Amino acid sequence: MTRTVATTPHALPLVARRGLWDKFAGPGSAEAITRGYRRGVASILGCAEGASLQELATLVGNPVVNPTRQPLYLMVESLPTHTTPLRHLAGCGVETFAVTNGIEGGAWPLYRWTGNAWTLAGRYVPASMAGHTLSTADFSDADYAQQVVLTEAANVSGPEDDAADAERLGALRVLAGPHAVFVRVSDFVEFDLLVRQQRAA
Amino acid sequence: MALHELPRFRRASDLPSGAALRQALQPHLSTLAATPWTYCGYTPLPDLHGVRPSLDLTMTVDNQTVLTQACGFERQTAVVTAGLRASRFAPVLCWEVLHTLAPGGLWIDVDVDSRCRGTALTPLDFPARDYARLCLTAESQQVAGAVRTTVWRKHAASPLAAHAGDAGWTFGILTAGDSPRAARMARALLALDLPAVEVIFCGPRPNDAPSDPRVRAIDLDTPEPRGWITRKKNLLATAARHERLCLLHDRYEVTPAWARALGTLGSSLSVATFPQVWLADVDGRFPQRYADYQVLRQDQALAEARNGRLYAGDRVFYAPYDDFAETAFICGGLYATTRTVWTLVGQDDTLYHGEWEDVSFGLDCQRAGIPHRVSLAMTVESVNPHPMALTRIHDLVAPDVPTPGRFHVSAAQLETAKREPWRFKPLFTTSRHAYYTRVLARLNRVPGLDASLGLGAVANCTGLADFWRVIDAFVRRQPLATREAQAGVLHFLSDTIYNWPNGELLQWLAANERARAAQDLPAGGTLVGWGTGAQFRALHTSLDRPLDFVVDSDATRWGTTIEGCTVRSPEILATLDPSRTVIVVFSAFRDEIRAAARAFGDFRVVAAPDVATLRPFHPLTDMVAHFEEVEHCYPVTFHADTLEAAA
Repeated sequence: MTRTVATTPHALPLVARRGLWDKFAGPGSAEAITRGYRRGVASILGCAEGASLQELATLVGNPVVNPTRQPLYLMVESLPTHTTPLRHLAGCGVETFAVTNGIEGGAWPLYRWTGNAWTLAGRYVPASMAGHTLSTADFSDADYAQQVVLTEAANVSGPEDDAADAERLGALRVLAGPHAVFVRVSDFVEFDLLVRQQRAA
Repeated sequence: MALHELPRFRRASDLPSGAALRQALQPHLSTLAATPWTYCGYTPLPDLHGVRPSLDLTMTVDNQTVLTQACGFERQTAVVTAGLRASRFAPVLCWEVLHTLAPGGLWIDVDVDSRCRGTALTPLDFPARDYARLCLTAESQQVAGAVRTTVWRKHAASPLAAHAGDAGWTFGILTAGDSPRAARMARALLALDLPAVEVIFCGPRPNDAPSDPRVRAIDLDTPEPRGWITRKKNLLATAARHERLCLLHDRYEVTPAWARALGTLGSSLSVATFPQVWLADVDGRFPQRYADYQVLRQDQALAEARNGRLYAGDRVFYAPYDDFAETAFICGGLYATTRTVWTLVGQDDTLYHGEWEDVSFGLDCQRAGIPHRVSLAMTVESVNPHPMALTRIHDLVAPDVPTPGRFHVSAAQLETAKREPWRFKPLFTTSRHAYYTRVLARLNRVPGLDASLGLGAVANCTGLADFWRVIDAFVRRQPLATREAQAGVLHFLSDTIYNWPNGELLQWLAANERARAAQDLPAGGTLVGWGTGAQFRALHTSLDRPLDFVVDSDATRWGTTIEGCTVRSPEILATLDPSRTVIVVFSAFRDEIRAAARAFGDFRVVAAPDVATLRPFHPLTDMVAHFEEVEHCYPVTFHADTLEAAA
């Protein structure tokens, strides 16, 4: 993953929370996820069992669906451990992450699939979690040098709130350290991209 | 003698000087003395010690400039250009120069060095872009002071040359469902006085399409509800038998004049269209410009926009036909091009109808060095009005400062609309009843509505704005508590009014959510009304939660109850915690009441209409205002068989 130091939330790399949904493809639908990957935008993918993991891996691994080889981001209650599902991950050919969302009161662990094991790669910070409720302990794991922090935009759980996102990003940067790579998880990716253009202009 | 252009195009003034040009050409004089050569430049050609070009082009340059008429197609053994990049027409000129140059020919290009390093669209200079690279090689480059001299050799014929002898045309018409208009177009196209013609439908073959070996139909493997027009156009280009390719939507009136106009496009055809109009009146006096040729006015973050395939609608303008920009693009209704060009670039088939696919195609072409242009050889009539009708034309006076446009609606049209509305054609091809029925049926499929709207509710409507005003009022009464519900209304608008790109819909959605959140009343704390008059009676039951009590400055009402609410003195506010209390004002005297309330503490004071559940859904409210303006300019809304003259 490319290291990016963005000063504003909209300048961060983007991942869709529910795909690039539109009037033909409902939020989180396979069509919305496909639309996102076809246009170079990865999505958080819900996955509860092996069969759907296979479907997701097949979908994201398809070069027609994912021509720019965007990563696969799974949202799971616990890391897949069965042999069969992991075989699918190994075969999909894109970088694969998994977020385990079972922890309350802290940032959720983000794991990277290395081909034979899950290694802790960073944190996923839900929109409901304010920066000030976290501490450096949430980001102090020592087994990785450069952590990836996926931070949900306010628009994932409520109205767009630029100021709140900026404030939270600032707080998280302090906690995660100077080498952390931040990624914005958004429900309004196409809107974010337009805002980014406006800011750049 | 030199190229020149109209002052409004604001060509840069810092050209290579005559002395610099003479110096740049000095090493090449012996070559130029030994061969006929053409000069094409903005710098007046200085004396080159008696070495003169066989042709010194003197012409007014604009969007329509074609050099192959004067210089022939791939006939020139040498061309010298100077200062082309000072002009916004540089891509056009470079395209033309490339196609005048014979295989093996020499192109000596002299220009300001800083302008030879690409543009906001691509870091590649014009002759170094993908199309030209297939036939052009840089032999040498020299920089002296601020001037760069590049010698290019045309190492092969241009891609267009391979099929230059094929004068036949393939017309590809996109269809969706049965299309009598497409069938009529096919018959007219077959009758054109052209060397050879074939017509290919992409989509369902119209029922009454001509039975002719020159007509065939292809289609997507599976139907695609999004309107996969990018894929369809690519399929048509692949299937075309002829080099010359005209890709059309099924809404044009094809006349014999098309043959002559298409014939004027010449051998160096890149990607072109013709001006397109919808004739608003039966006499054809009021042409309404259709979506034909536009410009994306953006040079910052352009790569990002192109990579994301997302563009801000408020940066897209209608350009005058003689103007040009590197970000100009032909709207998708009518492309005249070649199979060769289309195959080199193609449309991005990850995009569907309404996803700025035409902008992306334009930028992709121009990045490859293939300009999108307009031919004035004819004006094409679109038989369908544009759904949004009120086109503005913009003058692009400076790269970063578009001048606000003017309506393509004349004073004469407005006067005629007022006095002789019967002279106008209907804006819709359907009857009022059919339109109302279709729109309401779609509205009632919006998820999350707590009621439906029937035809009875619009029984008194006669036009467009009044009909949509009823829908606006209906939507205001809906809770629309979730993102999906609000998006559902936007998707309804998108399905029934105009297929806006999704980014635009999300902009509206985000703005609407923010506006509503700012108006939300807190779930806890104390909610106090102020005022017990008509506005109270009209609105207090429309709040998200009931009032705890109401205050009024009229002492005679204190202690009474009005519609279930106890009326108290404003003095009671002094006993309340301002941080946990919201005051809702039911009065036109909001500012005075706000001041009076603040005397008791720093309360949040809101106006009842702003927080009532009948809150405006802004995109819809804006659309009603737009339709009022449309009906002002176009007095007949619906098809004549159902009597709708709104004026």
